[in-house]
Amino acid sequence: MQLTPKTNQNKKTFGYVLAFSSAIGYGTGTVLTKHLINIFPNPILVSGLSLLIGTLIISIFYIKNSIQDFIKNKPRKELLYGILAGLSSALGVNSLFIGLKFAPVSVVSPVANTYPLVAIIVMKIFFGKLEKITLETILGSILIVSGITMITIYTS
Amino acid sequence: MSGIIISLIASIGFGSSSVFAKISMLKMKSGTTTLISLITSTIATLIVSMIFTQQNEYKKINIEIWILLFWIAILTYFFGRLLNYTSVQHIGVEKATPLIGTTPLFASITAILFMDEKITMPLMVGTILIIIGIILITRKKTNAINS
Repeated sequence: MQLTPKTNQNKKTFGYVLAFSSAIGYGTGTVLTKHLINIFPNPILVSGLSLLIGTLIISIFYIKNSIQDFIKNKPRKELLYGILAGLSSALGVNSLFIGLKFAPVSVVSPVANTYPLVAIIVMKIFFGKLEKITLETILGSILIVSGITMITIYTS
Repeated sequence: MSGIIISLIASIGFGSSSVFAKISMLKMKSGTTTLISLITSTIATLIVSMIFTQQNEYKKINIEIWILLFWIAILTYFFGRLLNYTSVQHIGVEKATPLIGTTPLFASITAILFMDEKITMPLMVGTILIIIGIILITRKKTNAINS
């Protein structure tokens, strides 16, 4: 299963479509998660079990490709960064749920949703050579985070 | 105060995840990085959940909960994380992460459409700010401020 555009010209458009599709996936998943937590109020266990099912589903589609990827490219440092991506994502989810035990959603959610700015700062400080960061991107990110903060404060 | 600090840790976790994934995908495909990250996330989260879960809670998981968990997994990890990492691979962290950060907007739209939640003024103002932000990020002409 490959998610690759046929030409380089379509690469950016394809990337934007994927980013919004991902946001829709996360957004609808969040609504279902809220519904489930009303029935079964253990968010960390809900997160752990949904991750387990998600891993099994992704394995069905990608285990063969992943093995070929390892044999062909022999990634070592990249494998470590893949593990770090998973660990930092788990740190994010678990901290979010634990944070909700100490403070209301109206405080926790806006702070946690500043992560796009954190990503840009981390990218700029540690891996600045990999990507160019533009003024429009920084301003756009600040506007998005402000909008999300407004929505989460008033809907929580 | 501890709630805010823990929320900041969550923000750092979510933010750095995309950066690590980007570097991982320099030599691996997005599907491989997604699978590796999911395996490590699952192990870490299940260990944390064991600390916070009492034995009798596991017995409460019925078929309705398993079905909901299945759909959450499909939406959050198959569509969410896989497409997140693939978009990072195509357009980079600096463009993909803010766009994926619009997730709460889509959660609000879903809640309005299917959970009978109401459209409010803060939601409308927030949506306008997000749309302007998206236009700024996705428009073609950009000026690099660093090399």
